[in-house]
Amino acid sequence: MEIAAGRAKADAPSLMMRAEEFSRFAEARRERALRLAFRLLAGDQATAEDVVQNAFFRAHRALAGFRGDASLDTWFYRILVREVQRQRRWQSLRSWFAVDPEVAPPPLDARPVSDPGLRRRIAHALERLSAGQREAFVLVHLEELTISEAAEVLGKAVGTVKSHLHRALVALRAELADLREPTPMGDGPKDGEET
Amino acid sequence: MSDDHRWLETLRDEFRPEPTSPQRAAAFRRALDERMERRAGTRRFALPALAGAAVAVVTLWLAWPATVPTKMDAVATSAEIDEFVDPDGFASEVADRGDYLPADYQGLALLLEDDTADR
Repeated sequence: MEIAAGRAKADAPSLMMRAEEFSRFAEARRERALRLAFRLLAGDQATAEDVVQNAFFRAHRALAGFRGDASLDTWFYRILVREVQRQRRWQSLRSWFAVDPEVAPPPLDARPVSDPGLRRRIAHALERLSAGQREAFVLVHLEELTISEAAEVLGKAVGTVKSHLHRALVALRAELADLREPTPMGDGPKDGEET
Repeated sequence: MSDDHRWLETLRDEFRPEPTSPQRAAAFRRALDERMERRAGTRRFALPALAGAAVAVVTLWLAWPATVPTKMDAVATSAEIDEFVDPDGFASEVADRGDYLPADYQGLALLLEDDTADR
């Protein structure tokens, strides 16, 4: 049985996905899911891997309840975003009780793909956004979902997502202004533009 | 390409996880498969076992003979009742009839008391 890929509507037979077919589904989306979780978790790769695995596991468990109202991808990314939110709540709870979060060392086989200092700065800037702003910005501007897809994944109104995006852009332009070209600001995408 | 687009492109390029090595990818796949298999095992064995146990409990409950109250061999005599209820003891607890009977019933009680005394 072929798994509905991309943004196509999931058909009913795909609900009967067997374990190995689900593994293929997970395999095809692992890298993108990991990237999304990494960005939403402000650069914590080890936690992002755990979160992605939990999301796949939950998706497999919930597959029988998938009604096909949204595409399989949208449905999965919604589960993933909720898993990230759960993880962040858990982290904030742990910090509330002053338990030191486990600082996972980077994987030994990892080769830096970018400037670690710059990554830290971007992570820090994203951390300073509200959860809604960060999620909207990451989904639309970093993961290149349309605003309506992001709204569907986040379970929010399109207007709310646009408003979050606007605020996130204003904050990040100020925070990471030096990363921009020296030309003056203003000719960028209009607020709420679908990428 | 506009200024903002270039800026976003920079963010996208710089802010991404390290590429997953084949070993880590395999470990991820293995761990996920193991979790899914464990869950399938739970569903295959634990759920039927739980359902069976529930059916057994209900069957046992329905089949268990109901407890019937033992029949009284004979009508209790007043003497037997007095073994359980001690009117004198009760009277000693309530010093005055006025403590526990309303005025109308006090009159009735007096009549009954007189009637008992007459016998």
